[in-house]
Amino acid sequence: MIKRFAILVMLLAVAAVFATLTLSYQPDAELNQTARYYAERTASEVGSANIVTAIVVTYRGLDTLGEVTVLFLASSIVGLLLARGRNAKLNPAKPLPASELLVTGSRLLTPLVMLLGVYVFVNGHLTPGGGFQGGSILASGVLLMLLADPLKHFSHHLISALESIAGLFYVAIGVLGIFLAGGFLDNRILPIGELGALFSAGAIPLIYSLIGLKVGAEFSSILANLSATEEL
Amino acid sequence: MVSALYIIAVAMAAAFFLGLLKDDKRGLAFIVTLATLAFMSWVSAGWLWAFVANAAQPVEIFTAGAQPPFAINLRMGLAEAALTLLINLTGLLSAIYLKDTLLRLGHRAMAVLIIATMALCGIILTRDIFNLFVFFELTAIATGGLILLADENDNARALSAGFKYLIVSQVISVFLLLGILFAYHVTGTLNIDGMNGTQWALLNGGAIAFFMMFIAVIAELKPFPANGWALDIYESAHPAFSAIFSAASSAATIFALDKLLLVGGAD
Amino acid sequence: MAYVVMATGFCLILIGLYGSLSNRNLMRMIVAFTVADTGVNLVIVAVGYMSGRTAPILDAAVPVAEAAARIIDPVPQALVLTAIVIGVGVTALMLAYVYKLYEAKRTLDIGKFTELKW
Repeated sequence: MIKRFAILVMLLAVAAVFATLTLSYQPDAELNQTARYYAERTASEVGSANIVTAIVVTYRGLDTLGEVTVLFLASSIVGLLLARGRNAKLNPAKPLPASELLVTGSRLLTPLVMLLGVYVFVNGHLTPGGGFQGGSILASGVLLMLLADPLKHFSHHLISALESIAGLFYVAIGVLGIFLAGGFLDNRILPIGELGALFSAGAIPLIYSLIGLKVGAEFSSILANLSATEEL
Repeated sequence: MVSALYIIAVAMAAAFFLGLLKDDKRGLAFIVTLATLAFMSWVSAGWLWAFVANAAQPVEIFTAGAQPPFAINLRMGLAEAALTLLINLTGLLSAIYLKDTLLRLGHRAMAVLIIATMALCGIILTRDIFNLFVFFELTAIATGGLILLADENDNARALSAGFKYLIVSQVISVFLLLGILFAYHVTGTLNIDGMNGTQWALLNGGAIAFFMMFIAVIAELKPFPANGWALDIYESAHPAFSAIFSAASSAATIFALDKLLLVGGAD
Repeated sequence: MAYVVMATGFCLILIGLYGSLSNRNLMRMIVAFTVADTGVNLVIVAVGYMSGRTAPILDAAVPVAEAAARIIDPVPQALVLTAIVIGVGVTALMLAYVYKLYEAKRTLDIGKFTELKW
């Protein structure tokens, strides 16, 4: 009881802080200096129609590399941990079969979902979306497959090879940026091309495709590992 | 001297490469791990030597071909060189000391160790406040992962300690992230040097934003009244990992706090 | 508009923090954290909004020359992308922890893990 009361009091203090922040918040009338730079210079320096993509992949590319590493860590740890238990189970009990509606529907939908995912990450520099969004969509297709057939076996070797190779290529492209262009993760190692074309914005489509595959593989591996714990 | 960016790039490349190795090649994985950590230490040592013996000047490392407030930059100065050397050596010596455990756990655990070391170096080198947050989170996940992986015999104490560590670090990251965003809104830049000299008290919500970030980083330090929250992982985790958690991560966090004080204005 | 989203985000954070600190069931703590993370992401997205402006994508609707006058701040959107992914990574790790804790003690009640200092 005391503990609950103490938590409420503390949260009340936090709520007061939040209220002050909200009430004193003034939306900007004009873009601030950083945002203005991105708005004006993205087309000529980076060549990407989607400014958020330009920021995520090029200007703040080191953050994205860190984030990709976060996912790599999470999926490695989950895979390593839950794999120990998986090898011990020789004959898992047969789970309840999924409903026919789900099985048939997933056969129709899964290829479409995968196609949408690939479209989103390949067009990351032109339309809203990108590697992370596309990779999540790919993983949701895998989730649909897992729901329809809980015993489906995914090759963990293939998934981990995919994510490692994609990661290595991403770092390699970044280092190439130091030698061939302005700095680490500069996208001008490939020609910038014409704004709005599919093959434009230098190395961004390549990087985002690698990220999309990597993220899709990692989320799928986490989902597959977590689903395999159901026997407990 | 080799650019400090290679500390981060080579560490990541090595970690991804370790993910490719088959499970039975553990000896090779261990050699790769030692070589990577040795390389990182060598880079830091080279810079420290340059600063101490040759009186070199601090160097800014730009990324993405753009200038600082619009892209992330790193700095290698005397303090950064000394601290990254400390962290890389701690990582290298831990890897040597933990040889049997790492060989038993496999290549993925070695990748986690490399990334933990690299993330601590990243906290020290970066001059961008959101990048600081990303490296903080990377450290938290790597630490949580190391505790989980090195846990033998399903030791519930180490597991509970690690879980508690993750929860508290998540609460801290909520405040740190909110503070960063409002600080960005108030100052218009995410660069620590760019924020230097802002009159926080005069700007709307500025004082609160700075205060939030400050509190979050202080809590990460785990000083006296708050030290309960990480005490358990020091006690229950594998001893070599305790070295990394206590010594190396405190060094990195104090330096991060110092950077934040720079943001707030030295007075 | 920005105020509505920001206030909603803050409410979600408070709900999530309350849930994670006062629940005894490990799974509910994780769900509460997910709610708090969502709240944080909402607040981040709300920070960059400017009324009357549109998305930061250069196409027929926003020609390059007028970009600085027509788009909202793109930086918080880039930051929230990273924040969401990091949140997912930590959630996955916490779930792995819960699995191992359950294997060790066969309970999801945090009160049963009494070996800790506090």
